[in-house]
Amino acid sequence: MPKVRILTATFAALAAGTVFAAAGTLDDIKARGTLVCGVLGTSQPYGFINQQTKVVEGYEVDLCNAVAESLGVKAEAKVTSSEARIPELMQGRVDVLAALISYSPQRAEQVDFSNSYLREGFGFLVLKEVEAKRLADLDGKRLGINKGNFLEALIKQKLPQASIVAYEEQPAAFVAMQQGKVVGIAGRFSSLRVLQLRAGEGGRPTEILDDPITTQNAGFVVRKGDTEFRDYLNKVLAELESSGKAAALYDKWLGSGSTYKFERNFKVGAPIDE
Amino acid sequence: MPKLDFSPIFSADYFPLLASGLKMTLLLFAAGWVFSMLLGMVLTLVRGIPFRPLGWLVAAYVEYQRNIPLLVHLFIWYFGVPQALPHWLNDWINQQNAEAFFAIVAIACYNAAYISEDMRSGLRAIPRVQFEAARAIGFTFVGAMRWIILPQAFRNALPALISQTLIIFKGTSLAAVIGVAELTYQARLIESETFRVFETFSVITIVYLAGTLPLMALGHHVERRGKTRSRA
Repeated sequence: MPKVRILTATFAALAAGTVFAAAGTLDDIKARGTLVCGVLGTSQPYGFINQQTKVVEGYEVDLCNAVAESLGVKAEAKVTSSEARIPELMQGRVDVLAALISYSPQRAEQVDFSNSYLREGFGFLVLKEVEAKRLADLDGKRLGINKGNFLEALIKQKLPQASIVAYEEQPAAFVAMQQGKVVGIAGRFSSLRVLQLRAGEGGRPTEILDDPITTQNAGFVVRKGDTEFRDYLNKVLAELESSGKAAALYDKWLGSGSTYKFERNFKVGAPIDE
Repeated sequence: MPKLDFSPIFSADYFPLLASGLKMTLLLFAAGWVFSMLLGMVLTLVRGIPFRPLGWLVAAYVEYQRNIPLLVHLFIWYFGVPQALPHWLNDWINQQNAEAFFAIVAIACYNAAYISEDMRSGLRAIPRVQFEAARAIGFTFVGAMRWIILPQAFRNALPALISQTLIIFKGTSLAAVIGVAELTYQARLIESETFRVFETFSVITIVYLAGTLPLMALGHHVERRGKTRSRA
């Protein structure tokens, strides 16, 4: 496709003038006195709006708070959507993203990832009536997912006959499943469990399919080339792990201190590309 | 900011997604346009019947559609209305492409309200005496409509109808919120996989423009032609 390549080169040349370098984020944060974090708003318990206080909180929000604390600045959690998060970061409206962004080499061409702060399996929550036992049982079925999720391509690969419908947010996908529009929804196991618990006893019974699609790391995301800030984040993550604070945070939001009682089987600060 | 690179978007991984998205956009547009024109015509005719309650019903429908955003209509059709449908019908729709089905219904119902208003104003612009004069020189009711009133009314309404066509085309992008895999949906999927926001959205901007600019040119052309021929 030589034509495409020429076109591409032209666009790249046109845009080269507008490219600006990302550097000195750390100095900016200190000068400003606030660390602006892009977080999610509907992903319990990682980043969600507390119904009572109307304030965003969660595991990732607390991680941001920990970074801000180590810098001696105030943390500001800014709720972003899956489509706005990357532009918000690139245009400097947020300093860092802590928004359940799973690492992939393709994504890492555009942004820099810190080390991992969450390693987790991804799978399906399905309607019990479907009686699926393994992943393969879902092939040819209608499956739901939330937008901005990297899983869509992976599911298409593993279940080529399935049709996938992506909704704005995971709760919408859950409602669609309850209405029988899809028979299962994909996501990280913890999020699926949370949805299941929040839905309670009413509605069609659901179950989690233990057969995982994949396991992924998520970490902080910073602007490409912002190495100084990324290294600093890695340092904070390592300290959180060694001081036991990381484990305590997990317990508070996902483990024994939460309603979910998940077991932590990863270490904060581990390399992300594993 | 990393260098712009469009090649991943045109690669074998993603280009088919864009192509299938464009196909779905065109389907939504074509079906949405045909059904909204038909429904719009029906609404205009019903409103023309000299029986007040029918006129009120149409007016209520038009206001309901026009005063609620299309985005909300999409949610109502997709998540709300099926709850009221019989179980067997619901199951059948779910087996098909329920997303596209309800998106077309929502787009058609919403735009039909505007189209019926456009057609009605086109009709009302014709002085009633023309109809009376036509009858006086011997035209039947249908004949007067066919040869005197409707050709002029159509010409009056045409610019507004073309602009509404443009709105229908752009409106198809909202269907992404209920999971219809049209162009915008696919762009967001590619964006989330590659994080190449600028590249992805510039490509679909150009695709949308390739659809809307000819429509706009057509609108201008028709408007000019209409002017020179009308002596009203």
